[in-house]
This record gives sequence, structure tokens and C-alpha cells, in this order.
Amino acid sequence: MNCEESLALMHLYLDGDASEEEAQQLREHLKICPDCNQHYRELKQTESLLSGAAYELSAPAGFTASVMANLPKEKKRAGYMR
Amino acid sequence: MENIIKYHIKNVKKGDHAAFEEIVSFYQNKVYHIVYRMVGDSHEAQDIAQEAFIRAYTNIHSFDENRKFSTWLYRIATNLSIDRLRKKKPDFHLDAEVKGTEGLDMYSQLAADQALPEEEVESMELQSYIHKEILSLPPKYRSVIVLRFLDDLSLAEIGEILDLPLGTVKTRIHRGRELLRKKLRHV
Repeated sequence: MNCEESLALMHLYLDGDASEEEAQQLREHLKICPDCNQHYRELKQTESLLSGAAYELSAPAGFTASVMANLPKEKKRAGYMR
Repeated sequence: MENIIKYHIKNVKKGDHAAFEEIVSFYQNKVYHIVYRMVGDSHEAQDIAQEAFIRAYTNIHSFDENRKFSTWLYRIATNLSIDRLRKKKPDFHLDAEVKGTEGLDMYSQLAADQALPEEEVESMELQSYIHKEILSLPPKYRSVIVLRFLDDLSLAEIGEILDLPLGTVKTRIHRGRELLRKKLRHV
């Protein structure tokens, strides 16, 4: 495997799309190629930093009430009028 | 949960205004999260998130109940965010960089009320740094990166939300991941 193929495989692997065989090939390559090994570590670190930032942010206090207050008023239905 | 939401949607469609409150309350944090990560400014995010719910309400009759409601709602929210970014296009890259520091707001609000242990302060600073780097991505990569780490959405769902083929979603994730790798490798 060359480094270009290895790089493509890293992304497949991080997406959970690599087969067991591909994962094994990648591991073999990472053992013998320091550049790819470093690249893979950096990608892994990026992934873990991003998943750490995925904690759900909270909407500001009173958000729901504000949406409800701003909904368009229901149209009066002709059937209700006498 | 999807079933309870479906029940509320049926009621909204029948004209039960109050049932919509349950929907807003359930999805408010997720919608706000997406929009805030996209536009970077908390006031703007609040404004756009509110608009997203109002649009969902006024168009509720066009929502197909056989589909997943969250996909439809997130699509409205991401489209509105992207529209907003487009409107201020001339300066939006520069803008995003500056707006990125907005993340510090959360930190200063928190710090005012309670003294945080040092590790937590460091972690808040790291969080706002990451937020800023996400904002520095071009929007087409930013949207896939933001959605991918929210709520365990599948890549197929992300494709549906953004109206992109699965292959394009993957390419953008790979590209976005590489761009962020360069920015975050020294953290």
C-alpha cells in the first residue's frame, strides 16, 4: 500500500466504513510508515476533540416561550362566525 | 420519542397550538446547537433558531409524517443558517474569525456565577478554541462536521438534511477533517 491509499483508508476507517481486511492493511502500513502514523494520530486527535465539543449547547432561557409568543395567530375560521 | 413527537405533530395539524410547545421544548437545544455552530453568534443563533421553529409551524401541513421529523426540522435550520451566511458573504470569513470569540461568552457568564476548578476553565477555553476553528471552515464543510457530531446522526441522515448524495457527504467530511487536523494538531 502506498501513502495515498493509506490516507484514503484512514478516512474510511474513521467513518466506520473499512472492512476488517482493510483495517488490517492500514495497521500494517502504520507500523512501517512514520509519516502516515503521525498523520493518523493527528486525525484521531481531531476526532476526539470534535466529539468533545459535541456536548449539546443549551438554547437561551425562555426560548420556547419566545417561539410560542411569536407564532402567527390562528386564522379565524368562517364557520365559527354567526 | 419519535412516536410522542408524531402524536404532537398530529395535534398541531388539527389546530392544537399548545402541542407545538412540546415540540419546541424537545428540540430547542439541538436546533440552537446546529445554528450556533453554523453562524457563531449567540444573538443571531437565537434569532435563526426561532425562525426555524416558526417556519416548521407554518409549514407543518407539508411535513410528511412517514419521514423523520428531526431530519425535516434540522434541514429548515441549516438552510436558514446557510442563507444568513450567504447574505453577509463579502466579509463572512473574516467575520467568522472574529465572531468565533463569542464562545467565550458562555465562559464568562459561567465564571461570573461560580468559581470553576482550573481544569474546567482550561476545558472551556479549549471548547471555545475548537468552536472557533469549526467556524473558520467554509460553510459546506462546517455543516457536515457540526451535524456529524450532534446526536449521532448517520451519514445518510446528514445527506438528507443537507440534500446531498452520500458520497458528497463523505468527501466533505474527509476534507473538513483534514482541514481541522491542520488547525488542531498542536492543541
